Amino acid sequence: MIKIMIDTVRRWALPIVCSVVVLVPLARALGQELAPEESVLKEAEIVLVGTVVGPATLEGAVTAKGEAVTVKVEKFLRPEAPSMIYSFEGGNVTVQLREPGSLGPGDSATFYTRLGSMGRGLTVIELAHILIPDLGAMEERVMAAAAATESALAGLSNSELRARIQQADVVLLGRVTAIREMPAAALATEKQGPLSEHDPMWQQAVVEVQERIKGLEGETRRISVRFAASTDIRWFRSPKLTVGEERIFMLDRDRDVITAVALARLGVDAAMGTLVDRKNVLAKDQIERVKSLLRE
Amino acid sequence: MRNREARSRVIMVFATLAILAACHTTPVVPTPTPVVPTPTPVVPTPTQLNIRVINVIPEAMSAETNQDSEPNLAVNPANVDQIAASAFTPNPVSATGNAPIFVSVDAGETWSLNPIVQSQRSTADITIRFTRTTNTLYAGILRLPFPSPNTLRMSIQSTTNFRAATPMTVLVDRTGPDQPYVQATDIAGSDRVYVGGNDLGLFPGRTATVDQTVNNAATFTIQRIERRATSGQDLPPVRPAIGPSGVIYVAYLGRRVGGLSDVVVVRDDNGATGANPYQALIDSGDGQAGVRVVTGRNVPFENFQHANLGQERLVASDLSLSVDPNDSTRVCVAWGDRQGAEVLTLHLRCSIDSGQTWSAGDLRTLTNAKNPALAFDSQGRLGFLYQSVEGSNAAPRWVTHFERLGQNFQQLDDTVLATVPANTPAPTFLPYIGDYVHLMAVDRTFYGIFSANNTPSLTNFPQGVVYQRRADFNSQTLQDFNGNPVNVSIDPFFFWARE
Repeated sequence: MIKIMIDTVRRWALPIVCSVVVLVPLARALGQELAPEESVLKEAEIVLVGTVVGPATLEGAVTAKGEAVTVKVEKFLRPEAPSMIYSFEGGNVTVQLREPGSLGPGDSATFYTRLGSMGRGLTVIELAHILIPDLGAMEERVMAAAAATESALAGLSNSELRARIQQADVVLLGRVTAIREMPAAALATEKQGPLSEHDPMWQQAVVEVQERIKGLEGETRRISVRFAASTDIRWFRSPKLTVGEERIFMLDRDRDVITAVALARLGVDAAMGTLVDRKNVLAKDQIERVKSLLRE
Repeated sequence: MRNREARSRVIMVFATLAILAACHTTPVVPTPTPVVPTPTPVVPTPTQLNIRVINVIPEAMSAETNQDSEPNLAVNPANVDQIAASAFTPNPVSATGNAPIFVSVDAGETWSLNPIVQSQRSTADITIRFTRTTNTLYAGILRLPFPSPNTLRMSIQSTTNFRAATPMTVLVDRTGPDQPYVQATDIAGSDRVYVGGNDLGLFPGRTATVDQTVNNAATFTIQRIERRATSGQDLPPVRPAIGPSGVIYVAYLGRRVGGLSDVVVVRDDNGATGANPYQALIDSGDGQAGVRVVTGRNVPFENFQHANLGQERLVASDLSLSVDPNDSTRVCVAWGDRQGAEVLTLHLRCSIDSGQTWSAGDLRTLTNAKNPALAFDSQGRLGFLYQSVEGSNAAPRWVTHFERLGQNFQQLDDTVLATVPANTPAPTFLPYIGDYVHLMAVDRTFYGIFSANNTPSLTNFPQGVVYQRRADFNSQTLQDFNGNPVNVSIDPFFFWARE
């Protein structure tokens, strides 16, 4: 009888232990989504995969509320490299937890966070986390978590691009053939403005249409678009166009009344509005992605 | 008949008395106009001035290469361990997150970045100031994004805990003003905040304005301080200065038809709380409110990179004003204009009669210089921070000077805080080092901030320098956390100076 009991234990002990070790975390993992809801994805400034080392003390000038843990960073998924925070990959950061006690030492997770402070170290404020099941080697776990999040982020990125395409009056592939100073007299609503260091210093680019993707009539061969030539702090991040470059442009038509004479003077068939957001200019190799999103 | 004689006698008596009174009147002596003493020739006297220069970039940002230009500074007078600093530093991880400030709670020895300013990624202008006793930090900013490409968006924000991760509270958010420059104080526990600005929403017109609150930020009002006709606008800098006993001065550059400009100072003796504020100073020439310190100056507005001014632009923003914290009759102004072939010349003039008259000539004249910043300490000494391009055309250097002038405005000393290459790194945007800097004093200590090339070299910082970010002074290289070299960039440098 005793021998039977020993045999039974021998037979079942290993599977039971394995089940506890493997299935419980798996169940925890399966009980959650692979990525958080879209609002968290949008708000998250820093997304990292890491393992809780232990409790952290919030030190330095910037104070924070709640519990904080030290997390060893395996991989940053957001922001895109290069970023100064990549210096912390492989090192420790402080995570201010959204819910105290929600994570303990040894827990691995994908952390969706926003920037807390940067002093002697990096502190982030958790918006959400997704536990990573304790399966396989750390490298594999990180890869799996990264793949899930990157897929979600790519989806979000596609959704943002789709919205831009839908919002734009015109989408085209074109080549910049000329840059001109703004002809103030050509536009009825333009007038000499005040002196300001934040003046956009508008210039007019003439773009030869290579492919019409959305919203352009068949006979339109050249369009004009305004862009800010200023390198002031307000404008240096806005797109600067140069002669010869080929880009996909997502543009709005000019809301001002443009006379045929003015268009002829510019040497174009249609006038677009201002181009101030660099996300509305894409590399030429994105054309199939743009067309695909437009079809969806 | 008797009545007529009596009336004649009365008239005679009064006439005699009037003649006697006139004869005994004290001869009229014109009221002496206070004269600012002529400064003695510049002979800097060695003093025991203790100075500490600290690079503000925190250790965790060792890999950063931003152009952290146009710095500003706020030392909490109620607790000088608490200091906030700002620059055109972007949020390091997000294009849509809040703009950061730097905070220190150990008197500037170490700093942390705290993204709490409500502006997308960075600001387009920012100045910051603590109140006198209530521990509130105010910021006057140009907030991003703008509502439309040609419209500026000015915001005034505050926090009572600049160390917290909580975003600052937006108190004012309106279109129009450029270059908001904030000063703050408090009376009986109630905050008073004065934000000078060039309200281009009033173009064409008189654009020099002050957005202010005198009721603990419950409400803000807009005060237009320009009384004269303009060319269509005033120039960008409108600089308030708070003196003792509710005295407020504001300096601005009034731009006139034809393009020349006046340096104008207005004053209010009641904290600008009355119905007609800023009218205490009347110009003896035209009878208008606001004394013209100088007139007809060429203040260049050239919004492009100048090879002969250390890659910086000139946008008529060089103006500073300070009032003695213990004697509101003593006030000084510094500004930049173009003299002959010089690209920009700084001038310093002072008044010892509450701004009614000013030193006839310059107390200091500095060529090829910009970014003047003035502050009086509690001993009546005037600190004068500025940056000038010096050296050869082939190897120009931005040299940051901190001068002190004594009670009679004689120069006490001239200390070089930094002398760095002016032709590297290449600008990412303009302004390169900033359209302005800031200097202030609490008690006997001056506190200032400037931006400069951050090459870790003790030769570049003659008074010594402390870096938190990783740097090898032997090889003169910046490093990230992994020891990899980091490119040289523009960093903000905090300093304090006291005897």
